[in-house]
Amino acid sequence: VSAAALTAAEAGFARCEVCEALVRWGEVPPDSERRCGRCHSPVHLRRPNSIVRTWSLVLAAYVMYLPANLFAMTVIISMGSSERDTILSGVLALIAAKWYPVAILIFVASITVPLAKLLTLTGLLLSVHRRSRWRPRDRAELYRVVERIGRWSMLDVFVLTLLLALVQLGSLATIEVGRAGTFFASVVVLTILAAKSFDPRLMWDAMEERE
Amino acid sequence: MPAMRFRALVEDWSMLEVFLLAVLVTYVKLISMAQIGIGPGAWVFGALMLVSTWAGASFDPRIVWSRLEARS
Repeated sequence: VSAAALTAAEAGFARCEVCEALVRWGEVPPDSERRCGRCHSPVHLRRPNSIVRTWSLVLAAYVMYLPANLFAMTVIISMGSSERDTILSGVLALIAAKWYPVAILIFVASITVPLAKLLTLTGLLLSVHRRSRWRPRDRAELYRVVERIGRWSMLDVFVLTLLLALVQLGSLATIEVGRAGTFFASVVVLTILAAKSFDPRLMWDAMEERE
Repeated sequence: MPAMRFRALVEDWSMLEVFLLAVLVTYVKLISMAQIGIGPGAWVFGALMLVSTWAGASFDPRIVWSRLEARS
């Protein structure tokens, strides 16, 4: 038992992640699955295959990130001529139009947040691999931030769908989704799934090992 | 109780506040293209976002479970 706190696992319990009941673990192997006695959800000591799943989702998101930023996000067809905008050129257009707050918002939600999320998750995964003992509280906080901000990247996806639905002025102007649309949406969904499959308790396991 | 499991599952994917912000951004983007106004639906939708976020924040599943257990 570590000096700082008693964990449920040390006391022979696992926590149900749905209803937060404690499930008696007993002599069952640590990587097996039990059912929560209260809400019948599957219960594990650690999220199953957490590392492998998170790695694959993060890598897939990296692959999608590049085309999401290079291809056109929107294609505006007005008066016969078409204008392609990538995420970045859309931000630059907003700056040119002096809509600074909106430009910053889109830049942060669509470019900074997904990349920061991917880099952070990669760093956390590496720290688990290396059984790092470096600043565990900060790493736990970092994970909580990543988990919370992920949803805001959906902003551009929603803006795109709204524009698509609203701007249907026939020959006057229409907006089509460029190739980047699908890639960008998959980056956002993949990073949200990756954050959900990473088990922050793995970071604390390394802390207890060498005590 | 599948209802509670369902709630835990969809929690991450309900993004009303993100959507509302997207509506505002779309509005700004369209101002340069066409003349648009905000209808009453937008205000009600804003209120819906506030109320539902508030409800989500104050809901404590543990109360449901403790009441259920007290009954059985």
